[in-house]
Amino acid sequence: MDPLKIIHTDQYFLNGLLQNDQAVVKEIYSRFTGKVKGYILQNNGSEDDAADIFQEALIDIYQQARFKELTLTCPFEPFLLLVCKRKWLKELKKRGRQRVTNEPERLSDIGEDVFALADQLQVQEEKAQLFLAMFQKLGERCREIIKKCLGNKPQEEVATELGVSYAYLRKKKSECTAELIRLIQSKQES
Amino acid sequence: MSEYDYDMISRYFEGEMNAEEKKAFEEQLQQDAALQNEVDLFRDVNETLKMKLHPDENELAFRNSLEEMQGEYFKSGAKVVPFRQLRRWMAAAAAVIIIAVSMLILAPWKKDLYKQYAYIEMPPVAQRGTQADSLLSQATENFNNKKMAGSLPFFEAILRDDPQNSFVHYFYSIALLESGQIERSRNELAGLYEGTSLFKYDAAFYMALGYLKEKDKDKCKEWLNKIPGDANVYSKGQKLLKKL
Repeated sequence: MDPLKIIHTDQYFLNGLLQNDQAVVKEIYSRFTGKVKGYILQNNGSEDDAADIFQEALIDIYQQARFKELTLTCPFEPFLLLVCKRKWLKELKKRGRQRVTNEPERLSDIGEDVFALADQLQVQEEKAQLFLAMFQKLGERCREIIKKCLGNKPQEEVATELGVSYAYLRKKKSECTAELIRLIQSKQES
Repeated sequence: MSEYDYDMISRYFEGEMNAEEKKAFEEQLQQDAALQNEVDLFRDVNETLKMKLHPDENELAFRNSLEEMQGEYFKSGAKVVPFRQLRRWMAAAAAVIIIAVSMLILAPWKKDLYKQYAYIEMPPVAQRGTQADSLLSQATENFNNKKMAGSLPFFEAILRDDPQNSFVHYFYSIALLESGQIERSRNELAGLYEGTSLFKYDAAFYMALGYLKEKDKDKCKEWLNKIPGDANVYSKGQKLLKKL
């Protein structure tokens, strides 16, 4: 990624999540759950909703830090809050509920860098959801083959597990991948 | 793009090309922007699916720590208090009335009936060494040691790969119930009850227990009565009905 990016000192939160550092995880919960809860309770949500949103946000951040080169270029707290708020707005929309009273984007103390990073996370997450949706459209056998091949297991072993020859597995996997990519491309172009 | 090319791309990433093939492929990649795009998308799709569909041991351990924190910082089952518009004293008065009424109706001294009937252990896992089995044995270990919240991420990981597994759905729903996530547990149990698996009526039984836990005797009885005479849990259900 961009070598000129300046990493914020709060990066230790992300490192702590990646290393499953109990002290950091606890610090995140004790410092930030209150605000997320407050926001969601004020905006037609329950404590259960707040719990789900908070956990999902941390998992998204973890996954992207681990696999999508997400690094913290802004302070952690407003970033986490913005991610949670956007997730909650999306959930409300899905439920077809009332409009939210406190529009989060209007909060004044959020800097450009925070928006930029939250945008990055959102774009990646939406793309992942698109890939998953297209993956679900594949036939059962294709899904099974692709899923098994994602692991780090040698392909020969996967072939044995599926009860097919190695050559057949390669051919079939190639066909399934071609179909998946075609589905994704047709969605991305539309 | 032909299918042969996807096999080629995949062999390129898996490091299965010999030096000559690799050199030729990389040369073609340099000149062919369309191929370059395909390769980028291929890598992105693979990485992303792996991230979403194949949480490894590290990620499961991480999710496990989150799950343990959740209970500590969020009260599950707590709903938004609809008293917002009332004055504080009215809310307090209402709370007192609710407590008094529930003392009368719900008979909290009977509460260990739930504990008495909810106890269950998962059968041990026959190890075959696949990833799903290692997840299942971790779920089982947590479950049987009463670390219900701790077992949840393992169940969830198995269900992501194998969403039709009714055995796992069944114990997952009990773990949810025991860790106080009643709504989610109910969704799971309703799915099992509507299906045709072996766990159909066991699910009805735990549905009844969920209501018993909330001291909703009528609903509890209603679910117990859905269990037909030839089901395994029938006699257990009848015994509980009598005690109610």
